[in-house]
Amino acid sequence: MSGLKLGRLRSMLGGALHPAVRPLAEQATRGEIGRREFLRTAAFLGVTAASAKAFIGDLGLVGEAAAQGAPKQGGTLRFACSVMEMKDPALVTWAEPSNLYRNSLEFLAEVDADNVTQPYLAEGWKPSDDLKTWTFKLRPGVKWSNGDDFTVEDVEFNFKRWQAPDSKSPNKTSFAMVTKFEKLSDLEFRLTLDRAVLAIPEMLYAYTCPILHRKFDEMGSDWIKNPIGTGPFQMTEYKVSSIAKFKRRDGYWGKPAFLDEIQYIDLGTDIAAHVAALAAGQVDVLYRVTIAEIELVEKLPNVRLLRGKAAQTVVMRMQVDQKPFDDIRVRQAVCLAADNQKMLELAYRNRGVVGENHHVAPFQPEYFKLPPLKRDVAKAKALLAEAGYKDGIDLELVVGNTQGKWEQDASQVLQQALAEAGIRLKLNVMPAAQYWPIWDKVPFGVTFWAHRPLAVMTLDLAYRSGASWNESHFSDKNFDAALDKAMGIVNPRERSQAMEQVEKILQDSCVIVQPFWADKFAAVSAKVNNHRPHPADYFRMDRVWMT
Amino acid sequence: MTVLGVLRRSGPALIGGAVVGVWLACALFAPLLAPYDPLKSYSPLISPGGLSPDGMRFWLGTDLLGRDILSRLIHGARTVVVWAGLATLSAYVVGLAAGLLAGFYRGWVDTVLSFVANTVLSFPVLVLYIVIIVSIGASAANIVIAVTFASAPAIFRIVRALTIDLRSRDFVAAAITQGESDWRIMLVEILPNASGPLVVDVCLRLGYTAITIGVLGFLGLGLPPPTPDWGGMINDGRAMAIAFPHLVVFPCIAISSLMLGLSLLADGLREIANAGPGGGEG
Repeated sequence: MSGLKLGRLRSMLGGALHPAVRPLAEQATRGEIGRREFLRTAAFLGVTAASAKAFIGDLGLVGEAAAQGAPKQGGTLRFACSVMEMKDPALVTWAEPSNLYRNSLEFLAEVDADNVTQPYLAEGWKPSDDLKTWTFKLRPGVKWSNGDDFTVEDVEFNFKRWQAPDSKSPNKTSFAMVTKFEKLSDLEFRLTLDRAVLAIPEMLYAYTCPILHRKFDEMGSDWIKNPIGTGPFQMTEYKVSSIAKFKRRDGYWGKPAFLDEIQYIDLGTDIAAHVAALAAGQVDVLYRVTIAEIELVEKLPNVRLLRGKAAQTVVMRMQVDQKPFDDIRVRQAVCLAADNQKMLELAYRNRGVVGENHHVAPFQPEYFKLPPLKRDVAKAKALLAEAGYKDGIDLELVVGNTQGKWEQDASQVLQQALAEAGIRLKLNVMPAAQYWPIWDKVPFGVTFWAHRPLAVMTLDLAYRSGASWNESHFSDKNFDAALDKAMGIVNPRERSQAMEQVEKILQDSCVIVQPFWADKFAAVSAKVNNHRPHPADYFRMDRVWMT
Repeated sequence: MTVLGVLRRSGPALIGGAVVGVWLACALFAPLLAPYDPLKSYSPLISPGGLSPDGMRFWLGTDLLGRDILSRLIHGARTVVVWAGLATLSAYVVGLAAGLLAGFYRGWVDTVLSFVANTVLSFPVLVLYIVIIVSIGASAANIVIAVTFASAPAIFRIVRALTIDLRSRDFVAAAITQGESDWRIMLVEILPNASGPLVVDVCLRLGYTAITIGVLGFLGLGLPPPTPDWGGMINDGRAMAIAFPHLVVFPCIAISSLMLGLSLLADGLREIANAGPGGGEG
């Protein structure tokens, strides 16, 4: 790594670099970490995306994909999406309403469609070496749609609101580690945490974290009545279960949006009806297409199927304190007899990446590649016999199909695979509404886990001893310590090394059968450009244009 | 007179009986007739008549999980025949007993049983099925319970009306005079004389129950997977029906043909019953 290039980067940033930047840049130069990991971690460390991209351009790494044709200004885009009831954007419980307010309300940071964290209303941030203090610098010149300046006071208002004793926002728990909010200037603030946290910028892009105007509560706490925002569009109409309209706003701080107007049209919950509406030209973009419709969408003329990687998955998880899963030999037999590759091929038509029973995706930055899992039916039978089930065992798997019938399909393939080892698996399929109240109570159940930018975010929530969503009741001090260690490391390569132990402990404990990482799909009319599936379904529409 | 002899007296009964007979044969000899294991995955989404990569032919194609559709239809016939039969039998046991009691004794027994039956009948049948299955869970036994609960009141009303009519006949009065027990009069004097309309109703009700099992399967409330279930097969394939119509066309044909067969059989039996001994078109 030449001193000249680091010097150039330092001059771009106008100040001192975080100590982790140098080794990181050196690893990027040697090709030990990818471009995406460099951008992501550079962003963690307060290096803006523009600077980092310019910098890696100097390094000769792969550049951005060329833009496809010149963007065209104007047009109205019709987006098939639920128009749900909403008052307080910080309290929404689904991604759909967030995608509506996302046109007007913005966040401090953004995790883009490549799963790379980018500055947004904050133009940069810098963590302390111990990751317990985070200093954010806000973007100057941002104005609210009512003409007010956007300042630290707005951010402070939101943090106080999230953390208030009577707050109903999930942010109250998410940001419980923030012990102090300090205003350093009109455009700078510092967060002090009681523990090291790596993913503060990612957490700030959760759909409950839009930055509301500092007088939101004084104005009645109803965003639909007072749709003030800093974003590129202005909400003009909002009819629950019917339609919502957003018009391009003049005076936006960033590049003006290409579209004149976006209309969100509520077509109900049947995705087949959405596909029919797209085929008939009644809408231009579908919020989501599931694996059940992709063959159909691929056959439609003038429609493009969009596909993206996401760290979304299903796990068949076993509660380690419930019989017979309290005997690790039974869990091992289940994992050894399962055929993850076949579940991917049949239940998800090979449109994803095979799972490795440790809930870390190959496209998440901290992934460490363990030796491939090997199916071993004979060993599974032997383990069952050793555990006292020489004539096989009867198990029941509860399936709620919360994301679609592919969960049941995967379970049926699992059923066939386990049968070879003498495990008689009964599937108890129930409607999603019936499943949700018991999702974390059944001894053996299928759970869908949504995408999170970093694997440690999921592991911390689902497998740490006593964690709030620890549905398997897994508890292992060594795992907790290994996870703590990984979560305190900024450098992705070092973190990935530390993750070896985390992944191995979880995989060896046989807590989950994780068939695959499921790709995401969306569909657009051929005239829609630059709309990409986002791993968390967070769609920014200001860069989308129509031909 | 043999069953075939009876059926030959009516064209519709003969056709209906033949169709129902084919499905009965499938149900009885499913393991012998089905070319493949209905639960095993071979190769997904093979078109009808197509070959798998290892050269196996699938006359009706394979489903999403690579299972042979023909084998699943044949084994599905067993599911429908067994469970529709059991559910109808169970509904008849309850409906017959209650209908005979209400029609024979009248008075408060009739008032109470009629009130219960009318209350159940006031609910839309499909809603009733969904509420019951969602409450007690989807399983073959619970489908029998749901069908019994929803169908018995209708059977009750038919049996009650027939019993009230027959109760006033002279042969019943004679039996009472002879001191026969109430149960004997109901089961030996009244029931056999009510059997004509009830046989027709049984055929129709078997069809309704077959459809019900199909509908519950379609709604995801049917028999738990991987049991071959015609309604469940339609539900599984409907999202992809435009791209792969064979996933739904064949199970639809199966359900429709069984329904049609049972309806024709019921119509034919009605014709035969109305024509009296030795009559009919046939």
